[in-house]
Amino acid sequence: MFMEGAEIETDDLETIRRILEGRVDEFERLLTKYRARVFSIVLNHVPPDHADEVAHETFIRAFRSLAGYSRRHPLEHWISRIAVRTCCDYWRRRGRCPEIPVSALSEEHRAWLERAGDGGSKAECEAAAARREAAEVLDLALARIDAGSRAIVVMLYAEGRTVSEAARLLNWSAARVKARAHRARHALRKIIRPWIR
Amino acid sequence: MKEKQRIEHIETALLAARHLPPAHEPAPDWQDGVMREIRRIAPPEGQELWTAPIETPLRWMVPACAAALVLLLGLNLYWNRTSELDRIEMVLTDPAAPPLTRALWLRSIL
Repeated sequence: MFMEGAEIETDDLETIRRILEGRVDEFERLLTKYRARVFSIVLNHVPPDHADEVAHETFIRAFRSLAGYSRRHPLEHWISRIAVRTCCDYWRRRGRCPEIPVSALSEEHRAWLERAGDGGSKAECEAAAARREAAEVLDLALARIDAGSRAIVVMLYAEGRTVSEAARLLNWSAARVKARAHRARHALRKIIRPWIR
Repeated sequence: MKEKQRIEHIETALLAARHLPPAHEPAPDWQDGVMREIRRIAPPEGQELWTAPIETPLRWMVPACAAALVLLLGLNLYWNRTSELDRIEMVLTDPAAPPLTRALWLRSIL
């Protein structure tokens, strides 16, 4: 999670200075230090079988733009931002999935939709959300919305980040994040509608 | 139950679904692969990374802006020329325009 006013580690600045001087092997220090952080983000946003490739691209992008690192925010925040952007680009390249007909959903998914639609109380909603099918149906629905909205839904709801954290990670304003979240929810409702008819 | 209400319940349950990231271990040579590519794209030894060719939007923005400017100038010239020809045609073909007006007009623009 992002901490307001977090300090930049002097170790990192020293490592960056050496890399920029041409000692590129020093980059391995950053790679070892931040790979867990990058994978934790990437695995929330892209399928696990593509996580290695997206994490790889994140570090290559970080290396290419290291000279432009402003030193205003800790390196961890900067790399996290690159990771989120790389995940968005992954979904942009993949494009949106075509319409998913209700017949394409498994029997369990359809049963889950039926049950979740009937339950109105908080306890019923929590029980429905805790089921494995919830995450699978959400993945199917997210495959049909644009990359930015997808990232917002994952960060705000699946990862439980705050609006300001999501805004910082995407380099957007908080108002834009809220507007995009609203649009994403609207898009999700449109996707769900034909599934319950 | 109304369809709208059902959709709202499903949406709430979907958004509350906290799926923990799957346990994943990168391939054993993943880090080596990244470092290999870093060494490949890095500038020659001894040269500072500052001078490495960095992909910037300027690379394509400058030629794109120049092309757009040339196109706009061309369109502007074409439009001016066409409207001038239209004016000449209008004066020459207007039966109500006295001959002296036509001559003065043509003289002023040619």
